[in-house]
Amino acid sequence: MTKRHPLALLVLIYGFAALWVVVAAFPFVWTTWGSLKIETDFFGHWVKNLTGEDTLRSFGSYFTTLGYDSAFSAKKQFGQAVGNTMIITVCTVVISLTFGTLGGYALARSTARYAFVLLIIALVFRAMPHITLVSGYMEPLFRWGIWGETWVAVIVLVAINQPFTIWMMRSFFMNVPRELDESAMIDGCNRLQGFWYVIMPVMWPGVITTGLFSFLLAYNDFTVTSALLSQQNTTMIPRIAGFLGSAQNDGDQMAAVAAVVTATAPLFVLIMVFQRQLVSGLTAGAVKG
Amino acid sequence: MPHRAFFAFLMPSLLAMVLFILLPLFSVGYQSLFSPPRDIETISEICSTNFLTGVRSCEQTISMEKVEGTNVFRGLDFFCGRSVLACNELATGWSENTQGVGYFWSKVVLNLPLYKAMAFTLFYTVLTTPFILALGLVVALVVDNLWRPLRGPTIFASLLPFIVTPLVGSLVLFWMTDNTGGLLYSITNGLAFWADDFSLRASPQATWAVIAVYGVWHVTPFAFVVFYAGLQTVSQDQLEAAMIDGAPRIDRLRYVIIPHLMPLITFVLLIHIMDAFRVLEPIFGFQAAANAQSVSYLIYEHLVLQADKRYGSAAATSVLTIVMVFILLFPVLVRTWRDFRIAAR
Amino acid sequence: MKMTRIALAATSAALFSASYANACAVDGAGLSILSAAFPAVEALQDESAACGAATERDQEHKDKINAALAASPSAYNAVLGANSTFTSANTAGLVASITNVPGVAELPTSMKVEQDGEVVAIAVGANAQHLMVRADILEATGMDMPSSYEDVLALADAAKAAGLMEYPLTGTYAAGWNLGEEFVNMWQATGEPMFVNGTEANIENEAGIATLNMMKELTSRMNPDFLTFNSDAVQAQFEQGTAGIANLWGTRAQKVIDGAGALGAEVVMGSAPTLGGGSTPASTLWWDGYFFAANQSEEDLARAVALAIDSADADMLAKGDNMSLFVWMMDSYEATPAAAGVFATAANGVPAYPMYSHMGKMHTALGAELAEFLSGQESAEQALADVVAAYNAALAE
Repeated sequence: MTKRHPLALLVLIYGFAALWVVVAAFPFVWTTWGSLKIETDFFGHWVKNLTGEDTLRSFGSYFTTLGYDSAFSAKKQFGQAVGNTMIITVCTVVISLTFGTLGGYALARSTARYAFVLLIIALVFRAMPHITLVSGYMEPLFRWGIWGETWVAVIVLVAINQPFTIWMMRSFFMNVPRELDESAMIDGCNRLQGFWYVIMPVMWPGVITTGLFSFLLAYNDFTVTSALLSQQNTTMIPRIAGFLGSAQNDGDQMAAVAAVVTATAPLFVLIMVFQRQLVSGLTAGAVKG
Repeated sequence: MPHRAFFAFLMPSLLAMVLFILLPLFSVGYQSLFSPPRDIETISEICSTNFLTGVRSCEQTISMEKVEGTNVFRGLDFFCGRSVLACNELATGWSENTQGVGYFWSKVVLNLPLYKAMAFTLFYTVLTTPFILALGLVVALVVDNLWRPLRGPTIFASLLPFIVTPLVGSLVLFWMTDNTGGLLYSITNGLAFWADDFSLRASPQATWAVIAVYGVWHVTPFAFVVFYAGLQTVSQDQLEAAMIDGAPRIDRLRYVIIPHLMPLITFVLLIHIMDAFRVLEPIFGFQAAANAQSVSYLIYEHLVLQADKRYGSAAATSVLTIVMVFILLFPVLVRTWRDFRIAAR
Repeated sequence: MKMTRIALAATSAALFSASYANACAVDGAGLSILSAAFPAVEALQDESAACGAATERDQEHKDKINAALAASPSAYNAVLGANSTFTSANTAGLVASITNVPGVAELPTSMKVEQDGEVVAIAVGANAQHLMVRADILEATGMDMPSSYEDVLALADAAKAAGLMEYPLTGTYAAGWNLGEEFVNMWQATGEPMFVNGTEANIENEAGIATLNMMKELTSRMNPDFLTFNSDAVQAQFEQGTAGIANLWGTRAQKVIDGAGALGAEVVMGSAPTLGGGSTPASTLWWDGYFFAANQSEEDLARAVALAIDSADADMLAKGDNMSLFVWMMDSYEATPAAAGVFATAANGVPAYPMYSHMGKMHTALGAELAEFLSGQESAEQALADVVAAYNAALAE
């Protein structure tokens, strides 16, 4: 491929790329930097956030882990929320993928009219505000005495994200030629065997991509987790929201900032490791969360 | 695929969706039309004592007592209520209006919660969409022309705003808009040097603009990645043919690249419109409730923010939202149906 | 058989008392208490937790109280809430009467909240919004601690003119619950009833206009972002030194003293100001306290009440800085300097926050509809008409 550009255009291209990278990433750098300051620096004038003068006066150093100490203290227990988030996201991803792979395969291979109707219904489900559904769960869950349990939230997250998962898995299965199924059947496999031994081996990239998105949906969820989990079982995002309204003690505000940075860090790692799969997922063309 | 195998494969997924989406949805539909019988008023007296003066103060209060009984059909009461479509308010506002359509629109229609929220949603969609599409395309073209080793890091940085939780993303920006010297505030204040008492949080205009900027920042990476992948499949033959013909760069973009990306542009557009109805976390993150309310936020207000939950209004608003989303999705549904019939053949 | 059971019970009781350093008088095992998450209620919850009870501390606890208490048996034995949440649960018939539960009769009168002669809640602390002013502002302007909102305006103007601060005045005007509360506070100072003929709203009148106009006067002297200011933000402004006059919650008083103290400034606590020559402070008296689920066994109810009384006792007050966290209602409470404002406000006869079942709907309507007036997009009349329309719509549902 030949890409020879005049110098002016090159300057424009690289200048714009640099600008865009700053716009996209700088707010995170800024917040991470500020999370190591005290409240009057981070929430004060931006120059103070840069220089950390109040932090220096209070702690004799330009940086302090006050916010992190406060967030991870025995009282605020953000560490517990980190653990809960991991458990809930991993369970949600595993179950979502299991259900979604089976369902997506069926939808990709069926030519019946009802399959299409189901797909359309799923698309409409996908577009609905989650808050509509979630509010209805609370009362029955309390009545059955299972409100606040981790596994309940996992099931709800799986269900609420199924429309997205089956659409995405379906579009991956559509790329696997039907002839592969048929050859497996001729070789004497039944449908499940054919699915497992012949189709799945070529599907792993699709499964990983869909899994990443399921992970993000569960990890980033606020509506379901904030309404259905007890404080002990709650995840990072509702915990951060809780920090915001109750900042009375020293360092409470910075605990929220530190928590925000902590919640973002795993996503950084995720993008670094799985960048290629994320890009291929976004372009699978079906739907996004 | 045989029917039995189809349903066997789909069963877990179907079951989950029926139990946790379809049933609640039926209950929402039901609640938008039916409600329990009205409570009856009973008088009771509640007393508390001032801790300091020891003065006992009692209040005759009207309590509502629950009436047992089957639910009552409310017809369109909830849909027509002030919190939803506000039929009566619109009718009286129109008949009493003597100051023209503009006045009716701005003072009557936009004074009602649902229409205000719709106006915000519309504004958000209309204002952010062109920026998202244009910026996404430019970034995709730029990255596609970068020196290869630089592409990876650029894509990494680009994905950040999209992948981070909306609450976290909006908080990160919100903290920078503090008018005692937040960085974003200082920059914009420098640009708007003529304005007194400039603030990014005070007026509806500023709040809407900030949320729109957040929207562009959050969704552009999605558009970029989709377009970037689309660019990889542009036919090189066509491009080379255009180059041999001596077509300038801008024409290559107009006549080859953009037509090729058209289906993807539609796709990004639809997803973005669908998500505009679900904007909720940024309203919290930017503490914007005073100046900006989305449709999702209204439902949240009916169901969560008050002790006396308003299931009827919330359900009616939800039903309307679903109808609107369905209408917006209709072109896609038709297209999917066509693809489906072709695949079935 | 019977003998063994008694023996077992005795052993487990011994084990429990050994494992709890606090020497709990009540075994809280199996009980659960829902509460908000500010320091004063957390101090109580720590006590209950130390006795083996499960404590759920959630800033957004009010969203789920009614759903949780409606379950049978209730998901929580007790709620450590406030008069607003009590009213909503009580209206729904979810609160137990505790008149005959052992220990209740001996409580101080001010701790007993009664309905039709039955005790229905145990109040543990009092809270009210009251005036906090930095002493250096008073000194520099040579003015006295304001007693009316008119004085507050004058003080704010003088402080600005003296070049002390750009926006000396601040307040909890965040749209939503806070804004509604500011209106209710200001309204109380007019002395007018908020409702007539039972549930009919009575705010579209001169008193309503006067209330809104004073709110507008005040906010026009605040940082223009006032519609985003909750208690956190107001406290932070004292800590940053960007504001020095506010009508803020008593539970924040100690933190404001500490925060301004770090900047070398003292804060004077005073009664909430009056309005338009009236004598009633523009504030409302709140109580925080325990109420108990109706859907539970008598035995659990008795244990939950005993645990609540045991948690709110002299031992708890003696720990750490618990004494300064609240204006406690227990007899063993000794007022700290931070409590001066709540005391002054109570002494001036501040009315209690109305415990009407329809008050919540009015509060929500106020919080949602007043922002446009304060940001200058609507007239006061229009804003009040909108509030009444929103309230009526909620009432009709």
